[in-house]
Amino acid sequence: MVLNPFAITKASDFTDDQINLLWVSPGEKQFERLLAPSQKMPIVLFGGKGAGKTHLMRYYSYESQRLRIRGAKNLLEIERWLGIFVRCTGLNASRFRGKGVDQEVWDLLFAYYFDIWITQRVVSVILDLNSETIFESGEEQEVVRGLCDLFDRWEFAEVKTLASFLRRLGDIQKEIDFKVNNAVFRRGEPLEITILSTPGSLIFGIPKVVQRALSSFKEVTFLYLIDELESLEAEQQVFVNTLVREHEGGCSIRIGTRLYGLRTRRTLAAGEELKEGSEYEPIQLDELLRDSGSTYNRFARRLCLKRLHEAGFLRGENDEKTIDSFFEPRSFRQLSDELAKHIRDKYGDNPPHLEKLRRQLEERDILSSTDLEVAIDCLRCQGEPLLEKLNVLSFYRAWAKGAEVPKTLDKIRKQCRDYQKTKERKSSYGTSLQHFQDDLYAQLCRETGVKYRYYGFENFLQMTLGNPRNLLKILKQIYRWAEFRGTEPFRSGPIDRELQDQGVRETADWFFHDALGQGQFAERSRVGTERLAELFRQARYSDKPSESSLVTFSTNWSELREETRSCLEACCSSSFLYEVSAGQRDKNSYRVDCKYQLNPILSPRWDLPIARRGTIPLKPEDVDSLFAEDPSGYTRLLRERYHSLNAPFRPFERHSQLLLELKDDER
Amino acid sequence: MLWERRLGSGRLQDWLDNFSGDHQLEALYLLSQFLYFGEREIRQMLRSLYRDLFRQRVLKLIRSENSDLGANELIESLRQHEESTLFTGLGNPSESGCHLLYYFRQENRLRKSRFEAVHRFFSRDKNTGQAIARFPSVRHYVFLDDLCASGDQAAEYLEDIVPNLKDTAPDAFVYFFSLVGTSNGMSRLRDVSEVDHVDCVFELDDSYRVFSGTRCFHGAPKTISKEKARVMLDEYQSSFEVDILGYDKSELLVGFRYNTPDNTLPMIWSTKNGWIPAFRRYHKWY
Amino acid sequence: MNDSFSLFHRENLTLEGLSRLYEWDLFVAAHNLSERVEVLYENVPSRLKRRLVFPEYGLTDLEMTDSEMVMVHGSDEAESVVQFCNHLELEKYKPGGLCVDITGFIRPYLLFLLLWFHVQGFRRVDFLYAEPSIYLDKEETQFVSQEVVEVRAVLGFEGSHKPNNTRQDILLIGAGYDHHLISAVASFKPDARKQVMFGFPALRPEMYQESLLRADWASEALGFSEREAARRCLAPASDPFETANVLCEELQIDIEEGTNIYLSSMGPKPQVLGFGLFYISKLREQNSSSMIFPFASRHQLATCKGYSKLWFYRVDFELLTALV
Repeated sequence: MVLNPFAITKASDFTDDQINLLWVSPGEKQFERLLAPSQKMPIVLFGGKGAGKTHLMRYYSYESQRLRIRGAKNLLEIERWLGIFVRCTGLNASRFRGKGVDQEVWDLLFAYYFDIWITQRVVSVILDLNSETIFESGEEQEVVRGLCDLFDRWEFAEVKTLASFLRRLGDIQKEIDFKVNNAVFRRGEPLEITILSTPGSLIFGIPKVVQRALSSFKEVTFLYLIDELESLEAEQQVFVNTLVREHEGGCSIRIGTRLYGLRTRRTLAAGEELKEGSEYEPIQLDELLRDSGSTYNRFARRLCLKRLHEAGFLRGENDEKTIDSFFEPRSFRQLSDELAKHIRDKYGDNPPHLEKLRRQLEERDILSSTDLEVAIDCLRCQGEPLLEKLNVLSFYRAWAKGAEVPKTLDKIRKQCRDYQKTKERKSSYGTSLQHFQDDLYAQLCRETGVKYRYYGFENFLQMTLGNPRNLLKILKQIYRWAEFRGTEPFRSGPIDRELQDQGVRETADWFFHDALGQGQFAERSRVGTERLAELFRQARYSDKPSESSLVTFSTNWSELREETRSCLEACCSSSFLYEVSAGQRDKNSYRVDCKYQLNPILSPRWDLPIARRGTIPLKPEDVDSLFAEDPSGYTRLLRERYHSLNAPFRPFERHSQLLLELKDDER
Repeated sequence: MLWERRLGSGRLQDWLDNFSGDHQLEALYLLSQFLYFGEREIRQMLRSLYRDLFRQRVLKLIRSENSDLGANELIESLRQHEESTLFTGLGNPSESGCHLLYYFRQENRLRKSRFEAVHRFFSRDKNTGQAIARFPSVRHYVFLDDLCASGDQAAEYLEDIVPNLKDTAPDAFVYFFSLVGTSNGMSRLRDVSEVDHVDCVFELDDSYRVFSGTRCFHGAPKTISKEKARVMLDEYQSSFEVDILGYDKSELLVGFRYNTPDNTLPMIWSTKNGWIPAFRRYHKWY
Repeated sequence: MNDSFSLFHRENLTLEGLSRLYEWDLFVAAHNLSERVEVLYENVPSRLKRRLVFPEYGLTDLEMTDSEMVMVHGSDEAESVVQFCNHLELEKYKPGGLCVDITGFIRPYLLFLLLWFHVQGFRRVDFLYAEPSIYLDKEETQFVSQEVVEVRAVLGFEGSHKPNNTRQDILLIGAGYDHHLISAVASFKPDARKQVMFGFPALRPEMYQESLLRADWASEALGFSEREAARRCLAPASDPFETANVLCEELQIDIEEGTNIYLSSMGPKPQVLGFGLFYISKLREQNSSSMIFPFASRHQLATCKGYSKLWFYRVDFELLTALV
């Protein structure tokens, strides 16, 4: 059975070997050098799920280095750094709390434990290098002596080799684990653990000791890669922050965390917080990838090609764009032609949108029946349903403003004729068409029973917006469907649009369910996203969409309720929404306008566009209602907007005023 | 994934095409309720059969004879009992009950000498010519089968064999175990007086019957109704030689990797009259 | 095939059979309003009976009608268990006479309770489990109301893991119906090799298929590639001892090599019991293993209807210790 080339989508599923093989240089200096050890300033790398954060960090790990460069001596001479990769989840940090022990004791103990933990890693790396005997005579004893001296107290018998030093460290760790774990049976009793070194002294001391004692390590920097910071509690992060702040020569620090995973910037130095820019550099990997445009696109294409190579679907050198050829491309021109034909065949001269307008005008008794026909004729555009729709849209706009009917019709007709003749994109008609054509096309699909499909490799790139994992997931699903259908994907002919669309929609569904994070606001953020998407959908399929390609909203952050802010953060952590602005939100800053976009990978769930253009401003109380438990505020918002976006375009009024309306109508 | 990839969309569509358009939804729903036992599942059931159905009973017997055995004595006693057990299949060696024996033996790492064909249970006394037990030390005779639906076939078979067995070995215990059994089938066999223990790994009570039971349509989408489905099926009776509800009107939706029993609705397995099966059946030649 | 736990006594009984064969001094059950827990509680033969009320079920004061009810409270599962064990003076029953209905127990509490029995030197405790006849929403059944507050090690089952590169760690998940829980746990240890244990034979045959489907939703987090089948293992849903045997078999090599082992049991309660027994006897000494769990703030009450079978499990702690 042929295996799905896109089957494994998470970096952590790869062995180090595979990571090296599959590592595709993102192509630009900005990525290759992203975590480069030569940069002395500590880096905090923020990355959502699938952004490639772990992949990137593991690339710099010692294990990957060994696979890239043969020979311990070579490694040290060529790269001049060693990547010490640790994942915070391995510490099971949640053990260090409660059980009847003071939190202060826990925090101190945790710091010590963290130090011992990392030290074990460092020593095993050095030992591993020495399996090729790179130490000179007497060096091992010297380094061991130096390491022991880092401790305030050394209670063990004299150690002469690194291996036995490592064992001692293991013993220290085990003892701590034993006591920590059993504290649960001895609640109320003090933890009897002696702390043998000042936290931080090991992690910073080792590089210096090693550089001094081992000749082959003289020029070597230790690159500490600490991933999954979010699994530590705030107080535990304080310690890590302190390491970042007070890092010493001989080592560089790189922290990896999920978005919003940095719970605090406090350090152990009273009142001092980590200063962004001067004490650490934050890198928002998601945003970097999102904004990199063509760089990400190239990277993504090469990644897919490499996968296909590895799985045996391709041989030799291939142009980047080869990958596109495997998928039926989406051409708007072709689609609108197909649709035009379909409408002609099915509806003849009376397409649904014109029928609807006719009905709406009749109901409101705005024009006499003959005038009505004239009006419809003005807007009609034989064989060009998109232009017709645009005309109708312009008419709706005029109606909502209360403009004069004859003038309006005349203007529209003229503009349309002019456009047909000149095809001038820069005219206001042309620009309008450019902006709204996708929305209008979607409306036509819905009105005429045609499925709006998402396909074409370029569109996948746009939908996954800098997130390689999501792209791989889409391709994996498509492959699965294609296989199920008995076709031979990537072997014979491009994959048709239906299969692609299926894979895409399934991925959207999966994403919506899988991305659900943990924590208090997870559920509400999901519900809020759904409500927001409904709002967008309502707008897109209304008579008079106010914005084109609407998947973005803006609001005043400072006036939002605390809960709403937390929900928005949760949405971003789960990648349901993207914040369309640089930098991580600072909880305390007075930021007036913030903008959020729906993750385009979710768009198919609600038949929304994948490209963003327009933004609607939402009042803070409206945003609050999106995330409120009580749905009534949201229901009202939806109703209000419905009335302003659809004929007869009267803003929704309370019932007392409705009566007045009725009275007016009777006149 | 669920059915070991046996039903790709092409085959699925072919099967669906047996039905006219407005019946396809019901047909698909019924298919979705099909209980399929693949290789992995069958192997696990065979383990369960030995371990849970047989061995636990023996342990119970041991404990009843002596309630305070220490662990080592328990282990030794169990070993002795297991040594004095013979397993056999129901019916002809080529029938499915017997080919299961091979996997049963493999999964449970039993020695070949634990297995014999039924006729070898007996031999003749050289002097009297009477039938006697060939292996007098055997305390447990275990009959195995894959599916016991109505129980009629198994009952007939056992009613024939077991009295003789008990005559020749009055202290031995006789067991019948199947992988899957209906409650009716199980009680039919329990009525066969000389069989000491009757059991199965999965028992399907009447609630599993597709139409006269309660489970199949429980929680079905609103557009699907049991009545509609039943009426729908009737329209296809002429395509099948067997009752539309399966042999003996069992109304089952069960299948094994190696075969689909005829107690299952024929719409799943039939190949007659140009019908395309979803999970075909390989017939027994009686 | 590993046999060490096969000797433990387990039996499938009816209520009448139960009354005929056994009688206890104290019977403790977790109150959760489901029919099967109620039926069992009413009919079990015991001199004293007590119902534990766990805060996660969210029962209000109004529902605390009974003098036999004991409110469980504590900052974590360990504190809570110790508190109610002391309150009920369970130590009196060390030589025997105690029966616990695990049907409505919340998993971490059950695990810690088992450990507590072991650490306190109990000789023997009997456990009962009542099988449901049907899950209310079939495939859509969700036992936990969605919000996982955190994934962490169950107290007492925390282990001492090794700081080597966590890629070689193994996470073995006992699958339940809640795919969100499976995802949450799998995402907590993204670097580990994953294996999923399904209950088969299941409590009902269709439950197995249903749990497979639910697990598929979590397949991204589980990292299942095309080699899915290799990472599944099966153990009977209603047999804790065989579950423990299967765990021995599956993890034998990892135990020998000292790999970091993470277990998470989210399947039916008998499976949870099996995981607990296995951990206590085989892993606690070995050390680099822990049992992790997705802790949620609330649990749904009646997720199943009806009552079908009753299972009896006798845990002989001396035998358990002999297996260590």
